[in-house]
Formats: sequence, structure tokens, C-alpha cells
Amino acid sequence: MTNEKTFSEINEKIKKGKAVVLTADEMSDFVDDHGEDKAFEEVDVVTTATFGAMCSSGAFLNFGHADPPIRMGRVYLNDVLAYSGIAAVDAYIGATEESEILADEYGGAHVIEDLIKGKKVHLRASAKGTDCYPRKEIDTYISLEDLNQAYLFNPRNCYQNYWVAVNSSNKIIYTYMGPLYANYGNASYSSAGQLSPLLNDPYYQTIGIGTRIFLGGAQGYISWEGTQHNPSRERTKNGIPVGGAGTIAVIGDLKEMNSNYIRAASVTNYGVSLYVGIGIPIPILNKEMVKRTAIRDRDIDVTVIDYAGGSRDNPSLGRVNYEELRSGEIKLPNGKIVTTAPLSSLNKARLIASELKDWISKGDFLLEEPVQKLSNTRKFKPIEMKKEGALINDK
Amino acid sequence: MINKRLQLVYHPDNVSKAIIYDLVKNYDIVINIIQARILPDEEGKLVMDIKVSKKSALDQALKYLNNEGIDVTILEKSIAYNQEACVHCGACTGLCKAEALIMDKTSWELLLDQENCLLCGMCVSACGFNALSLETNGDNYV
Repeated sequence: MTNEKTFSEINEKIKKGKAVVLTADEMSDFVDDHGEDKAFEEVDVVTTATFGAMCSSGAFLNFGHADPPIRMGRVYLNDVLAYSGIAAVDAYIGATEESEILADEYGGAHVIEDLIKGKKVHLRASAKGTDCYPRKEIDTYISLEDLNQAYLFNPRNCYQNYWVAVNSSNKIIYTYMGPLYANYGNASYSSAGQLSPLLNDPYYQTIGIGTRIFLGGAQGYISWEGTQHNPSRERTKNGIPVGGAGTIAVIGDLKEMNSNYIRAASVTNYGVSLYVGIGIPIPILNKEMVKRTAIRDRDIDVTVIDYAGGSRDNPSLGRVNYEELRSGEIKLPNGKIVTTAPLSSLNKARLIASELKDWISKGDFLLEEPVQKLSNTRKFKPIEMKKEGALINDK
Repeated sequence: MINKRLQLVYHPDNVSKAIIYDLVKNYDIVINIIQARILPDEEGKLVMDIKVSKKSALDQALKYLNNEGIDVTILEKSIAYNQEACVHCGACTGLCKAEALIMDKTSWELLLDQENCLLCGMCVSACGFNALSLETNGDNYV
């Protein structure tokens, strides 16, 4: 046997129903029990998954033309503003946009979930009216099957690791990491750890643009590197970044999705977000990928951040690993013992990894070799505050 | 012995009254305060378990609270959990200091133990999916 397998060799095995597929949890056990050599010989694909809040999400919708037609100016879906500064009857409904009536109790994420569930959605649009698009208003109901195209296009999903959030102040704060009690009363974290896709391929050797993935219950694709993709984050010796690092942009057909794997959430005193279920297959091309996919929660460090200050550069309080986080309690370097709770669902992530494993095992899902790698060098820059005058002086 | 869990809502004009003292002294009620947030000149809320020997004493105490302008709700000891809506993320468990909500460390499913619940309501604000809600259909005493 050679030391390398190719995507096409693995796909041939998948087509014949002979590929050996394990979830990332199972792979860790397999390598412990049988060693890396045996794992490389026997295992073809490892499935990874995550199900968590991914604010940077939304969907492109095409409504079709009314008669007389309209060039939609402002578009509302169940009173949530959708961006329509694109062609006449196209709109982008962003997950975090809030209802003008219900505020953060209902938002773009809920519109997306309602569409997937087959519910009717109230469409209102206004326009200035032109010779070719004379209609100035539209008020009707749409459902997913009425739409010509409806596809999720999420600019930033699937963060490679994240942070652990705590609050050192003397009052409760409400954050996108959930409510945080005063005086280190609780810690929240948000990663599937050893099951998380980009933690099983930390240098993006097999996951890239064009990779076919499980997205919200459908087959989707990685369409680009995610916004804020930050491979330059500090890494531990095993290549694992110690905080939010790589990200991916993903695309997939809303019409094929399942609300078990896409869910809208209202985060108290923060706003609306979309929980997205993503599964990514990792081909075991070589022994390095055996090692990568055998990673365990105890090998994945993550930085604890104090969210009390509300600053871009909130202070770090040291590192813990996911095994400690999963135990329900961590000890911070300052001696504080803090209760931990996850924000992303490991239960759902496991379901996704298993479902993707089934798809591949049955030959229903083939691997796609990336057409372009994700950057391994990009840096995530902050915005600099510049005065208008300074800009003029620059000219 | 009668055991009840009461929620008292104070209004800005009665937060300064020694309500608890009166309940203990005049009605011989044993009180265990579960949750309290009462600030000067603000509406306040207090949740407490009480023990009282006779129904007549309970009735008199409730009448007293009513006369003092306190809104009293007799709480049923439960929190509503909608499993269909739950995604088993676990966000609520970090806020539940009573350990009524915990994650099963094998299946990573949410487990709810009503007996431990102190009805503090923090899980409700931690849940983004409306899977948890406080049982508000306790008997209102008017």
C-alpha cells in the first residue's frame, strides 16, 4: 500500500459501497485501539460536524415577477427587512435582521426557518416605479415552493475553535455567548471540540473552496474562505489555534434543507442568530490526516476571555481544554472554579456526523476535491478610526 | 403543615414595608427566601417557600399581603419544557445554579429535574429557542 490515497480512489470505493467511514469520535477510538498504520489502511473518510450559532448567515431568494412587474426597492418578509439592492425580484434575507414589529423575538433567521418548514411568509415590497417596472407595491404571501431560487449563502460559518466567555464584573451581562453571571458565575463555550470540522484539519489540507458538505440537512458546498478567516491565530504544537481562527463561507439549497438542522434563535438582550448544522467529510489521504482526525478534546486548548469590558481586546484569562470544559467545571489561572456550559449542541453535531457517515457509506455523497485551498497566511485586521479630514489631507 | 411557594411582586410604594417580618411575627409562617430582588423605589420580586400550620393562618396572611398592595402568586413548582423546540445546546445549564437543568454527559441531551427547580427564570433568558418557560399559571391570589 502506498502512503497516499487520492480523492478519486476514495470516491471509487464510495461508489462501490466499500468505503470505510468513521465519525471523528469513532476515529479517535479506532486509532487508540489499532494504531495509526492500521487506521490509514482501513479508514477512508472521517466525518466531522458542528451545530451552533452562526450569525453570519442568510439566504438569497428570487420571488418571480408579478404583472405588471415591480423592481423591488424595500422588501419585508414577515416584517423583517431583506436587502434588495440587487436585481428586480432578488433579495437577501440576513439572519440577524430583526422584525420591525417583534424586534429580537423574530428575525431573518426565523424567516429562513419558517420557509424551510414550509410556512407561508408575508412579502411586502415597495418601489419607485419605472417604465419597464411600473408596479409600486406588492403585498402577498410566499412559501419556499413558490420561490424560483432560495439558497443559503453564509459568509462566515464553522469557526475553527472559539473562545470561552466569563464575566469578572459585579453585574450580569448579556452577550452573544449568552448571559454571563457576575464574578465568574459561569463560563460558556461554543465548539464541537474533537468533532468540529476545522479542528480535524487545522491547516486546511483537505477542506477548501469547492468541498461538498452537509449543510442544514442538504448537500452544500464551501463557496469561499469565510469572512474574518484568520489562520494566523496563535497555535499550540499540534497545530490547533487557541481561539477563533479559520472560517468558511457556505452555500446550499434551502429547498432541500431540514429544520432539524437549521434553527433560529433569539439571544436575550443581544439579538437574533441562526443555528446551522454543518458536516464536513475528511478524506484520509495520508497518515498526517489520521493523526489530525484522531484528535481528542483534551488536546484542544482554548482561551478564556473576560467579556466584562465590552472591548475589542477583552483580556485573556489563560487557557483550558475541551475535556475540562465538558466536565462541567474549569479552574481559571486566578484560582476561580467556574461552572461551564456549551452553546453549540454536541448532541446535534453527533447526529450530523452520523448522518453524513450514512450518506457516504451508502454512496449517496461523494467527496469533492477543493478547487482552491483556504489561505494559511491571512491576517484578520481591525478597523482603524479615521477622520474625514485626514482622508482629504491624504489626497 | 401546609407548604407553598409564593411569588410576591412589590410596587415602588410598598418596597419599604417590613412585609416578611410581619408574616413571621403575626402569622407564624416559616419562610425560606429562594430569590429576591427588591430595590428602593422600584418594582421588586421575591420568591419564597413557606410553611404554615393551619389553612386559616395562610388565608389571613394572604389577605394581609393583599391589603398591603403586594401581588401574590401561588407558584406551582414546575417549569415548562418544550422538547420539540430544544436543540440540546446546553446554554441553560450554565445559568441553573440549582442543577435542575443538566446535560447528560453521555448523550449530551438536556435533563430537567423539576424537584430541584427554584423558579428563578434564568434558564428562560438563556434559551434562544423558547424551549423553556416559567409556569405562570399559578393561582393568583386576589
